[in-house]
Formats: sequence, C-alpha cells, structure tokens
Amino acid sequence: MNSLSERGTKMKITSINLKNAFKVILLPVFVYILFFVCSGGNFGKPSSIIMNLKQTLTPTLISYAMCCNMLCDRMDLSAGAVVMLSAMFGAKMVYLYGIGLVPFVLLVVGAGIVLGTVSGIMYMLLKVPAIVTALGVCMVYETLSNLASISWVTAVSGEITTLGRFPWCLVIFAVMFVLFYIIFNHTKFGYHVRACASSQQIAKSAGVDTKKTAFLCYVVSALFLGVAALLKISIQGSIDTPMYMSSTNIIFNCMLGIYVGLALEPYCNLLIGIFVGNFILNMLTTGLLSMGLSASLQDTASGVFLLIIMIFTYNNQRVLDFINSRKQRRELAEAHQ
Amino acid sequence: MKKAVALLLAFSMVFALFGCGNTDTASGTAGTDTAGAAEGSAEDPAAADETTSEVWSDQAGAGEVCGDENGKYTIGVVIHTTTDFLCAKYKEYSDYLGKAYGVRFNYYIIENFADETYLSAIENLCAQGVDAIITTNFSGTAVLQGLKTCEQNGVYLGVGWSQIDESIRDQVFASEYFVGSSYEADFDAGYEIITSLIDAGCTNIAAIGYEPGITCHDRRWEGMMQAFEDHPEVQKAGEYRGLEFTKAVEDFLAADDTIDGIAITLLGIEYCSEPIKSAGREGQVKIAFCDLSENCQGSLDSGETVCAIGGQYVDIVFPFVLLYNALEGNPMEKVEVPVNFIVCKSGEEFANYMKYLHDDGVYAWTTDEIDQLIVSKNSEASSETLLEMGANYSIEDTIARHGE
Repeated sequence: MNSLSERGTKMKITSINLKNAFKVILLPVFVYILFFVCSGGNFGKPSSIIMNLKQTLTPTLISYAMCCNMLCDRMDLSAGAVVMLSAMFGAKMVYLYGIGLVPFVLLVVGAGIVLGTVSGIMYMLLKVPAIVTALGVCMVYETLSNLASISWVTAVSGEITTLGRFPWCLVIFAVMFVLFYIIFNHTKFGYHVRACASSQQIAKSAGVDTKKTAFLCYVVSALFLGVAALLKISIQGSIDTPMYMSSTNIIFNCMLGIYVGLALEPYCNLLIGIFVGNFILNMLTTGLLSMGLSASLQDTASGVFLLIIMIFTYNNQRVLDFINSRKQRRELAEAHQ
Repeated sequence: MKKAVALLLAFSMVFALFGCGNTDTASGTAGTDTAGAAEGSAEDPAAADETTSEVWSDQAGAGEVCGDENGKYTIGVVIHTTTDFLCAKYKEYSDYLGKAYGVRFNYYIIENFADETYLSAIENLCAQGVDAIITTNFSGTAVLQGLKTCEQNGVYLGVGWSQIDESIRDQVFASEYFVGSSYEADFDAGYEIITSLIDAGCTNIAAIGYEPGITCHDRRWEGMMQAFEDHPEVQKAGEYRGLEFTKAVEDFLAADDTIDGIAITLLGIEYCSEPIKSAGREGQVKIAFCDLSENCQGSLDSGETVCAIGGQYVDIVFPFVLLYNALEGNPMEKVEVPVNFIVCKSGEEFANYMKYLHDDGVYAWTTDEIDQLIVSKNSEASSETLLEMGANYSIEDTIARHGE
C-alpha cells in the first residue's frame, strides 16, 4: 500500500517536473517560431542558433555574477566596467609583451577578481548605497580602461582566442555553471543570500552575518566577472574602450536576463532560468535583425517584446486560475440545474 | 588582514595599468637629443627609430609632450589617443615638425567626443598657456564656443579631421583667432568601401557605423548609404550605428547566413575578423572599412579585406602650417583643406603605403617641402599650395616627390 502511494507521489512529482520543463522550454520555442514566421524563414537556421548559444555564454556568466547582489537589492553597476577593464588589461599585456594563453587567462581572471573585490571593499568601507558606490567605481574603471587602451578597440587574435572557440567556451561555461549551482544551492553562503533576499532584517535576526554575506557576494561576483571577461574577449577577439558609461550597456541586458530568470523560477532552477532569459534576449536581437529592423527600432522592439514576455510569465498563473475558476463555476451551475 | 591584502592587490593592479603605457620610458628618455633626432629622422633609420620610441614613450594619457621641448611656441592638440596606428603616426609627425620649427606640442587626450569634453580640453589648454590649439574631430556649434574661449585667451585655433558645419562657417571664419581647418574626403571613403565590396562580388552587405555625432563618421555613413541607393541590385543586410561593433557583427552573422560583406566606418579587421572566424564564415565574408591598422597587410594579402582606407595622419600638416604662420605674425588666407584618403585594395598597395608614407621616419611632406609654406621662409607661400597638397596627396605623388 505504502509503495503504491510512494510510486504515485513520484509519478506526480515527475509529472509536475515535466510540465515545468515544458513551460520553460515553451518560452524560447515561442520566440523562435515567432521570428521564424515573421522573418519568412530567414531566422533560426542551425548556424544562427549555435551563434546565439555562443553569444549567450558571457552575458549569462555576468548575470550569475550580478545575481546574488541583485537578489539582496544591491545594484552593482560597475560589473560591466570590471569585465571591460579586465579584458583590456589582458589584451594590453598581449599587445605589449606577447604573453601566451596561460598567463593571459590568469591575468584576465585575476584582474576581474581584484577589481570586483575592490568594488566590494569600497561598498563595505564607504557605507553609501551600493548603486552610488558602483557608479563611482564604474567611472574610475572606465577611466583606467581609457588609459590602458590602445585605440577605440584593443584586439587579440590567434592562439589567445582559443578559449572562445567550441568546445572550450562551452567547457568553461559548464564548469562555471556547476560551480555557481553548488555555491547558490548547496552552501551556507547560498542559503544566507536567499535569506537576505527574502528580508535582510529577518536574516540578521536569524543570525546571518549580512555584512559578511554582502562582501562574499562581491567576491563571488568578482570571480564570475573575471571568467566572463575572459570569455568575452576570447569569443569577440576584441574589447572596446568604454566611454560615456558604455560599460553599463553590457549589464542592462544581463539584468533583463536575471528578471526573466526570476520570472521562470517557479518552474525551474534560477540558474537555468537566467540562461534561458539571456538566450531569449539574444534570439530577440538576431530575430529583429532578420526582420530588417534598424538598430534604433531594435531597442524599442526589444523593450516592448520583453515587457510582453514578462507580463505573460508573471501573469500566466493568474490567467490559468481565472480560467479554472470560471470552469468550476460553470460546472457548479450545471450541477445545480 | 583580508582587507589589507585586497587593497594591496588593488593598488598593484592600478599601478600595473599605469605602467602599461610607459614600458619604453627608459629608451625614450635616453634619446632626448631632440635636435639630432629631428635632423636625422628623415634620412637615418636609426635616428628615426629613436624618434619613434621617444614619441611612443609617453602614452599615459593627458599631458603628453613632443616636438621641441624648449620651442618658442606651444601648440596644444586635443585628440582621443596617441597610441593607435593612426594617432601614433600623427604624433610622430608633429614631433618631426615641432623639432624642425621650434614648436612644442602638448597633447591633451580626451576620453570621449562630447562637446563638453572638447570645451573643457580647450579651457584647460588655454589655462596652461598654450599659444595655439589643434582640435581633432571637433565639430558642430561647439566650435563657436571653443573659439570664444580661444579669443578670450588670445589663442589661435585650427581644426583637423573635421569639416566646419555650413551653418556656422561664416561666424567661425570671421574670428581672428580661427586660422583654418582640414578634413578628409569621408563621404567618398564611405561610398568607396561599399563599391569595393560590390566589385569584389558581395551582394548582401551589412553596414556598421560609429554612433551619430562625429562629423567624419557621419559623412562616411552618408557615403555608404548613397552607395546603397546607387546600387539597388545589392541588398543591404541591415544597419547598425552605435558603439558595440563586435556584437553588431556577431548579431548580423547570426541573423543572416547569406551576408557576404561587412562595411564598417572604422577599424574593420579588429572588429570583424574574430566574429567572422567564430561564426565559421572565414573566407565567405569580406570586409571594407576606413582607418588603416597594423593588421591590414595580412588581411589584404588573404583577401579578407577588399578595401582599407586611411593615411589621414598627414592632416596635422595643414592646421600646423596655418597656425605657425599666424603665430609668426604672417597669417595665411583662411582655408578649409580637403585632404585625400589613401585607398588600399591590395597587399601591395598597403606595403607601398607603409614604405613611402608610414614607416618610421618617412612622411608625406618633409620639412624641406613644408619650408615652402612658411611665409617667413618663402614670401610666396599661400593657402592655394595647401589646397593643392591636400588634393594631390597619394602614394604616387609621394613617390614622385621623394623618389623610389
């Protein structure tokens, strides 16, 4: 009797998981079909999807880096500048000294860790809102990027970009994904982050060292930003010199990825949701390009489209509840008759 | 303890970055025999190398100086960098001219192209007591504001790499402190990069440009669009104007696998090569662009690049001559000098460009030739000659004047 009940429960869980997986997959599939139809078949060829996948890796890592801080209501606007300055530092070393791949990797990731940690230290020391500290740090890092840059763009090529090619970029991403999964879901730090995300005050009352957690958020973020910088310059082969706070452009898209991830959280792990979110955003850009939209219109269309997705994702349960309640009322009415 | 270690790491990182720009300082400062370097730079390659290393030695942002350290005049140059292929040569040329004519050049590096940045640079240079200023890529109505600052401080202004806007041209030319300007044939360059791709057999071309606001890039973009209009048989895969060029290339390649050409208003190889390789489209997508770089030789040889346009470092000569004559009390007639671009469509053309125009110690016009434009040395000197120089500027013209 017990085994039957357990089996039933397992089947129920499996069924729920399958339904959730279906819901998560539904979103990118919907976007794919929409653009495939709208672009008259131009969009969505296998090579395009592979390219989209590759383009998703760096933003997803940046999203993971920003995720812990964002959940705790800290907006780290310096993340983009950290990525650009770390990548620029590595590229400049290649340009000046012709360093090999291994020192390049160590320098870029190391620079990311140092710069990201410095952002955290500044936040801890200055005791001003995170967004204010981040803006200041972002400006300083952008200026340093300008000083370190060679031109509008600092480029690398050849062996140095090996990690940007398949399968290496996927391997690096997979390792970082697993690492973040463990950190976020299976460590004391991860539990503390989620406790702080719910309420800093309650977490503090429950014995969570919120200051230490905040600093660790920046340290973890720094590691992921360093690896993101490595992937970015390896895949793109160049890094632009940031100006007019252009480094923040990078993170706004990544933030959207996090929001989509949060919207999908009821159906899947947050990490998977963030990846799907970033993948959808990249499909959006290429999809709109396939339809021949100019760059300025693309931004508008992206914003509108994203709003639609968010409205749909956040409200679909309410819509389902509304349909179900109507159905129940109708059934009750029929039963009374 | 942890904080101390983190701070230490941060400081080491910051100092390392500042150190990046100064790797050749030792060799640079060792070669400060300025007069000797100036005399020998055109003929003696060793002296030329010394000059180059000296020019490249001070790359750490604002406050870079070259030319004659004890020169009787100081000219401030507002520019976005002095370390890339184009601007390093620009600075090297100014160093060569400065040493020959007793002019000290004070480079003011700006980090963006906002009007306020230019105006602040002009104010700061005036406060430093420069005698004249050359602003590069300075355009729009802000020129009038900059000129007002110059007038208040008695500083002459020359504009390079940018055409004065027609709407303010009369007001600008009316100022006694404006000496003239020079600009490149940017519209034609934009047109040329599209037609070169078409000639190379491209039928579906993506157009990428710097975000609107910088005159030279705006003109290049207009030229590109005109070429698309004149060649309706060619499909425009899409347009992008912004600052994320590499991502734009990636997006275009992901969106359309029939794209066979990319036209970009700046640094094509740096922005396009890796994304093309990354998309597995190597050999299938050709590129054409403005702004030459050290990577052009290989890319033109391989056929990846079908057209690379540049050579605008010579622009320095025109505002320099106009300013120098004004400072000497012999102002020339104010002119806007249109300067040709150098168009390279093959590895051989680029090799010639390097050999006769860009390599260390070679310049489009030597000081002997420029002497003819200095009124105190040649009373017949006139702005007409500057216009002719700009119109004749080419590899062939340089070979004809300097020999093989």
